[in-house]
Amino acid sequence: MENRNSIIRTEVLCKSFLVDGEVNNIIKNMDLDIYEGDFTVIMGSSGSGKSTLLYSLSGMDQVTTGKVLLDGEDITKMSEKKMAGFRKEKIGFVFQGINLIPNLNVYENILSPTYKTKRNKKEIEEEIDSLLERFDMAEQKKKFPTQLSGGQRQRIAICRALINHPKILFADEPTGALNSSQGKHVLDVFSQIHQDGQSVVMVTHDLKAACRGNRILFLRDGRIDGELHLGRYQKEEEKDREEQLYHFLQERGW
Amino acid sequence: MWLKNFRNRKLQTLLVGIIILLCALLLSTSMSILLSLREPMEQLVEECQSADALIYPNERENPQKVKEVAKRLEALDEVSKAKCLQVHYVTEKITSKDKEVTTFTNLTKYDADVFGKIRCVEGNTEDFQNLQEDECIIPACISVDNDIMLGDTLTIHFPKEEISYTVKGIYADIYSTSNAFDNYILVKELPDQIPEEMLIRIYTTQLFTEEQILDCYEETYGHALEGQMNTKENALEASLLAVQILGGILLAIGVIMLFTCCLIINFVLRSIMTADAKTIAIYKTIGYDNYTIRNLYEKFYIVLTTLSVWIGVGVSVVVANQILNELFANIGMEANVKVGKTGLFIYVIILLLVLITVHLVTSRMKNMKPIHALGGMSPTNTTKNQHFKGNYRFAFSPMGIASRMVMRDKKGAIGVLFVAIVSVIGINFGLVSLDVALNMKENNDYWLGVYKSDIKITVSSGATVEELLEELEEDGNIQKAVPCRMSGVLIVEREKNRKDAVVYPFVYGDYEEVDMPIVEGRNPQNGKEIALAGKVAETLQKDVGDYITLNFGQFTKSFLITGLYQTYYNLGESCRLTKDAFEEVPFSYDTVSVYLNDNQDIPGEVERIEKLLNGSGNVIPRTEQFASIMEMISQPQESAIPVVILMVVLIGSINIFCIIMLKNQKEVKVNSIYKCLGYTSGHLMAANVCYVSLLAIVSILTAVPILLYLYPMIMKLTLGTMFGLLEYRVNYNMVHIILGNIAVFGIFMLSTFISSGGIRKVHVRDLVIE
Repeated sequence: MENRNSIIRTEVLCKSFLVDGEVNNIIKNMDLDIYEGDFTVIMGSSGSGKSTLLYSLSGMDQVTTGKVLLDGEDITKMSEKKMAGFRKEKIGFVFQGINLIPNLNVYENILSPTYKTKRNKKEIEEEIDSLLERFDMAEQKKKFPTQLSGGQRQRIAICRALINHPKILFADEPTGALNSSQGKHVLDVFSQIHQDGQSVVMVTHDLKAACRGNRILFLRDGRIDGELHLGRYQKEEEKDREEQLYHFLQERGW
Repeated sequence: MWLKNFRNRKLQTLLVGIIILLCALLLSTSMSILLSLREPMEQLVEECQSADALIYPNERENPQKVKEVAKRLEALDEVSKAKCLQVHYVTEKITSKDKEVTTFTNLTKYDADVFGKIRCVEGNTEDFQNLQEDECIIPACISVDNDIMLGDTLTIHFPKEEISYTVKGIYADIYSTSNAFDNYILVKELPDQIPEEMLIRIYTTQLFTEEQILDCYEETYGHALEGQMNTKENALEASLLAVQILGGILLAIGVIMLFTCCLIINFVLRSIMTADAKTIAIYKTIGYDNYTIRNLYEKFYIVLTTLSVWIGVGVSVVVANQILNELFANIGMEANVKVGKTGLFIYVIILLLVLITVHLVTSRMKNMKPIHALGGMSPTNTTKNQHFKGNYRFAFSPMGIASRMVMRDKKGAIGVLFVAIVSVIGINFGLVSLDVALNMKENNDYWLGVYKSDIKITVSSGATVEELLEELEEDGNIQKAVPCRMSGVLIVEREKNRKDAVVYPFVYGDYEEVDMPIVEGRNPQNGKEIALAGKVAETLQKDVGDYITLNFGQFTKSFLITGLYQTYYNLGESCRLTKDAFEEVPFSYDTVSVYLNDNQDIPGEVERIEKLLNGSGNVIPRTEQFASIMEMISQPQESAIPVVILMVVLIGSINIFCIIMLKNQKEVKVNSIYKCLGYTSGHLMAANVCYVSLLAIVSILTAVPILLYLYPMIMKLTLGTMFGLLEYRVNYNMVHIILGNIAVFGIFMLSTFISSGGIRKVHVRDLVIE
């Protein structure tokens, strides 16, 4: 395990909020490595700090103390401008609320992060077409977000997150707002890109979503309370994975 | 809840409040000015028991004839008193404290019985009765415009001697309210050996109109009145003219701004409603109905409008008083504007418009269902499917994002465009008007219809034009000297039930010699032809090719109208005749137009020629001729227009600020997404700046040419009836217009940049659903 490349490393990471004048520590002195090529899933009960951890790891939120090294660079010290460039080149993010830009059509939404990258037009166009083809969205290219279903929108959001070949893709409850059939489609996409070697960090409380990952971290009161390794996702092993995960969680009082 | 609107949206509330306040200020100021003008003037008339009319007899140089006319007038039942007034019309230079006094004035023998109870503005009324030989009483308009106080000296430069008077008193009278029209300097006795004229002041037994007295005179004596009548009503109207024009301009801008204000309230409300959709839905889930919730918004706007309007109305008292004080200083009064009724009227109008706007926007509330309590209300997209067009690098540059905003949110773009166009029109209208006002003196040849020479010389009493011409023709610096007569008045043969119509003639020997602009037809070429000013032609319903009959005192004579021109001179009552028209009556020129050789220093030449003529002529640059008329028109505009431009810029930039701020609030999520995708705050702020700049450029490129095309037509329409303008010539100063529009553009950009500052506070963390 130690031989693998760490893509994210946190050192004594703390994140606190001030609530009614009292300091509320959400993440407590966390040292954590996220490895390249892993599909890491963060789970935990409500208030355990899983979303806060994701935002801290992805630079979406400022940490209180400690370091977050993403691809070797400490993102906690970055200026807004540098962080913007860093996000564009190295981070992809998929939200529960999807967050497509409403006045851009599907094609433009996917194109939007490519501004000022050193790639040529043809290459980008081919890549967008191939992503759309791959996620079965080629027909929807000219449509606007409001003309798509939730699942379709989430798939476009994933395409957008992937267009710049990010070092890591973060996903915050990506199936939380979808029905089970749409959710399954989206999870298949995640499995597919993981198979292709994409590093993914996902927060979820959905068992079916979580068992798509190969490494499950369980968070309790701002600390890692346990870790489960499942190996790469195989459809035929789905039941076994779910059972293993279920026991893992049960042991931790889920 | 409505109170929370104040707390939660302090900046929005403040800005909407300021816009309503400025609209109320503009409307209340203009209406207060227009409504408060007459009363102090009427008080003056009542207090002074002023004569009901002033008669300028045709043969005013002949005291005997004037007295006969006065006698005939007094014999009429309608006339209780007709008093003769001994005057000398001052064509000589007047100075005080080494500065020239520009005015149309008469040196007049003061007789309390003739003048009635003139209002004592400064000094002692008893001193008025006991004036010494070297003392005078001056009208307040001369005192105010030339900064002449009690004890100062006023010198009249007669050819043979200079006579100085110490100012013993300052007075006000309805016939002496402006330097642009005749006024009277009162002295104990007129100096010896100066030409004298006699005028008549009449008092009527009860209120009679000008037409009634003229008809009665004609019926009684079988001929028209041998003179021209100027009633106190005419004098009153003339003195209010300039401020009325200004009040009208302010009112028009106020009304335009009011509609812009409604548009902004519409924007603000729509944005609030979108932001409040979830709150509204929650209220609905707990049993509030549409009516109750709407009522909450209405209450909020009633309070906001009430506060803003009344503050605006309150401030308008100061502004209106300030503007009116300049006018009322001429009658020795201070303005005391009362805005109670006006304020109430404006309050009702603005409140009504605001409530209609609120009602129209909040009526969409019925679309907000309790279900929206779960996640707010997402805007629906009605845009058709679109192919991506254009350069992909451009597409997400600030300009690309801005272009897309324009193309895909047309309603929002139209809002900004409307505000920008209204502001650009307002500002350019002001700029052009200011340019016209500032260049009025330079272009007085056009506005007054005088010959565009370099220098004008008015012959002093005792000297003749012929003597002057002899001197001037030998002068090497002078290219040509053309004699002219500008004084005098002719009466148009009257028809029953019609007001007295007079024309003040400009007389030249040969119009071929002078370049005098004419709008239609040509200048007269012989003694049987006449060119008429537009105003006279309009009043008499005459056109080129018609005939007009003028009364020369002893006889009448018909003239063929050969051309029409325009002039502000004597409110447009003017005509052009050749010298030959006067062959049956004694005639003398009184003015010389001097055309210098090229590259002469005009002020230096004025000084030199003045010395050369040794007091036999009042020498002034042509641009200073009738300066008081030009100043009457231009000065109120020069002082008020910059303020109005500033207010329009302020309202426009606040509007832009509001729109962009609301847009940012509406698009906070979109901006967060962009930030999440790696765009910086600076990039997004630049996109906003590009958005407004695109629309501002469109509005400048469309509104400015349209305005420049329409401006002369608008001015002709608005001022045409007052002065009979046939054409409103404007020489656009493109440098000023370009600089002005660049400044406006810069202010809009600055306003956008400041209002976009909120983008810095947008955080990608906001995208997360907690």
